[in-house]
Amino acid sequence: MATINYGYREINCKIVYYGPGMSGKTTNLETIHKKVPPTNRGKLTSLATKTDRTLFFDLLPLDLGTIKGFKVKFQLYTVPGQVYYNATRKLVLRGADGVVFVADSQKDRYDDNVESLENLRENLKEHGMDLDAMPFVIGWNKRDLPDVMSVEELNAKMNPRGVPNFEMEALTGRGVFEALRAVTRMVLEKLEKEGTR
Amino acid sequence: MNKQGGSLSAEQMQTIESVLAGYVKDAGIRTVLLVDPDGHLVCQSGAMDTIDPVSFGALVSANFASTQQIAGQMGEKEFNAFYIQGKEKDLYVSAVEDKAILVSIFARGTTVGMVKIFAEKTVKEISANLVPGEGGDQKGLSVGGGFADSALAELDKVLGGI
Ligand SMILES: Nc1nc2c(ncn2[C@@H]2O[C@H](COP(=O)(O)OP(=O)(O)OP(=O)(O)O)[C@@H](O)[C@H]2O)c(=O)[nH]1
Ligand SMILES: [Mg+2]
Repeated sequence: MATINYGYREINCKIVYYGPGMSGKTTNLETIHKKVPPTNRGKLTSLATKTDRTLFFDLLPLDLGTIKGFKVKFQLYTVPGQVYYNATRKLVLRGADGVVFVADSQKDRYDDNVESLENLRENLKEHGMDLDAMPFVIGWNKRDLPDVMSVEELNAKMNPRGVPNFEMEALTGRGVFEALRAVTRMVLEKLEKEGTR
Repeated sequence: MNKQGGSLSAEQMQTIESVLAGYVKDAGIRTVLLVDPDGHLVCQSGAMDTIDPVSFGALVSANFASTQQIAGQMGEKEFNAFYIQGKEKDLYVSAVEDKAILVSIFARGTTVGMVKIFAEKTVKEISANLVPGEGGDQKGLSVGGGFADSALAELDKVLGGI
């Protein structure tokens, strides 16, 4: 749940980028880091292996300034996508206010997408959270590559609830902000409606 | 506290601030940070030097959370504290129950045993103050109508030109 610190009148929201290994989660944060003015973002922290695979998480803090008397801050996290890092993946997911699922659109990655989505649902459940009840959007990444599934088929198979979803090319930035904006909107609307519960 | 998405009153914050300031002085440490379990900085005292509070908090809480799970695999229920020795500075991290994490940074040469004793005392004092502010729990803390729209407009500005 979003945190309101009344002492400092500060609101903190945590957005987690989830998805299978190599799907483009870290690239999403790198692209956002590159394009957001330095006054509105902190530094990009990455705990990665020597080969640039996420080991624990990446973190990019965003600062929206003061809104209606509250300092509003977002923390964007990525999880490590590789299957065997589930223990740390679960830790990063704790306290998430919203999730961006970054899927790899390539045909031969379909099974990995499905497995990761199932893993997301299970890990949330272990934290007492329900994917269907929280802000959630999907980015179909790597649309620039040749051997990709159609978005229609991906939606039919992986997105039965029809959550907001976007064609994405994380390297160029296509769909990256749209996805961030959509999940942020859902988080803020939930916050406005429910407070901190 | 923040585990449930909580908040502290301004008064509680002041009390914690003065407890931390006293701790820095009494124990002769360089810096103390209080971080919530999600990695947000709650309060800090002493010199920040090159510390970036946002990433520092996130790294400490991640470190602490994984240490707890390591404890679990060892059959320990939990580690209450751990100590990291550097060349010039040492780090002592202690749990404030499951409510927060107290991070103490001090120069080599400071007596670790003393830091531990003062840290323990500080943990107790803070723990008593880390209860949700007036109104009992945090149910229904609200940001007011139109908040989401205003914040989104701000986000659009930040993301502008993309
Ligand atoms: N062609 C193409 N490549 C991409 C795109 N997005 C990311 N990549 C590349 O895919 C590779 C993996 O990207 P990362 O962002 O590191 O993947 P990740 O999801 O963080 O992977 P893990 O940390 O292992 O979970 C990198 O070589 C990126 O440059 C895209 O839209 N198109
Ligand atoms: Mg990564």
